[in-house]
Amino acid sequence: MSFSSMSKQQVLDAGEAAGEEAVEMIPGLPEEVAEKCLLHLPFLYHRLFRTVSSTWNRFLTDAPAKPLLLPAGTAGAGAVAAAASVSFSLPFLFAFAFDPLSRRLQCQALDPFSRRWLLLPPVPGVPRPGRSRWWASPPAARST
Amino acid sequence: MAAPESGDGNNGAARMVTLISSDNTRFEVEAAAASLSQTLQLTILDGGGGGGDGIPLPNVDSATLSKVLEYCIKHAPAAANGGAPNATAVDRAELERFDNEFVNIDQSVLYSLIMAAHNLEIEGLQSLVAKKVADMIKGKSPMEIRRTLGFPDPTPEEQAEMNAHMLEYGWAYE
Repeated sequence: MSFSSMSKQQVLDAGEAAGEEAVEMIPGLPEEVAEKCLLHLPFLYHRLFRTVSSTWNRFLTDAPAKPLLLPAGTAGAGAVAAAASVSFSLPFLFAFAFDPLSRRLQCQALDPFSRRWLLLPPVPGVPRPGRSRWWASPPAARST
Repeated sequence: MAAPESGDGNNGAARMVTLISSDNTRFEVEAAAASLSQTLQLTILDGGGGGGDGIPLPNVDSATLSKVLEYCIKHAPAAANGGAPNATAVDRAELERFDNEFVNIDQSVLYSLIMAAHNLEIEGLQSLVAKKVADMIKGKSPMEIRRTLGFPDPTPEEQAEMNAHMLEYGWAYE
């Protein structure tokens, strides 16, 4: 009787230990140290890294995204830009770019590691070209 | 060599301090180099670690400590100049070469180093080693990352999450 309840307790303990192990962000490193490592991961691949484990998912989803202003002239021509320290790596560059084909503003993000531009989903609430004037193209170029 | 730290300009020769590893090995090192550690800096400013005393470091073994000190000695002159403003490009390139070489080590050594850098609060070393760990992760699939870092087998939910992601975005990582 007592033997069986004891082994049950042991099973519970083992389960708890396994549970704790699964929560570890990087096995063998304390959490705050592991966090520092993960902050160096390029933001472009956070979506991939989030699938590594549930702890990575939680951490990278909440990773601090503090916007900071770039010094004037840092951004390329035509770009209204802000950089975010989403990761310790290099600042990620966000830019509004005018797309002549659709005559709309696009939000793009540059990952300095891979030097790849990402097209971001449209910003909610940004007026369409037809409803605002300051970036409207000449009437001749207009088509429905 | 580096100018003495402000507040202890007491003699011409660089001040030395002694650090004692967990396995009782004594390391004599310039105070300026040891002061790269925020933890040690306070003790050293208080005049500790000199003479026969030595500062015991119960969390750091001798192999790790000698590696840590190698980093500190290399980086102390640049740190004394207040970072990099008047360092030449050659100096910076040399430090960078040293850093790359320095972290080209076994994962277990890297982990000991990261723990020591964390305990001793050596900012430059912390970020150097953390970057190295991130480099080990980059360019790998989630499963490869788990293997590299020694994760236990994924739970069914985690496995499903990974499969779903690779199915949708796998093309992006080849």
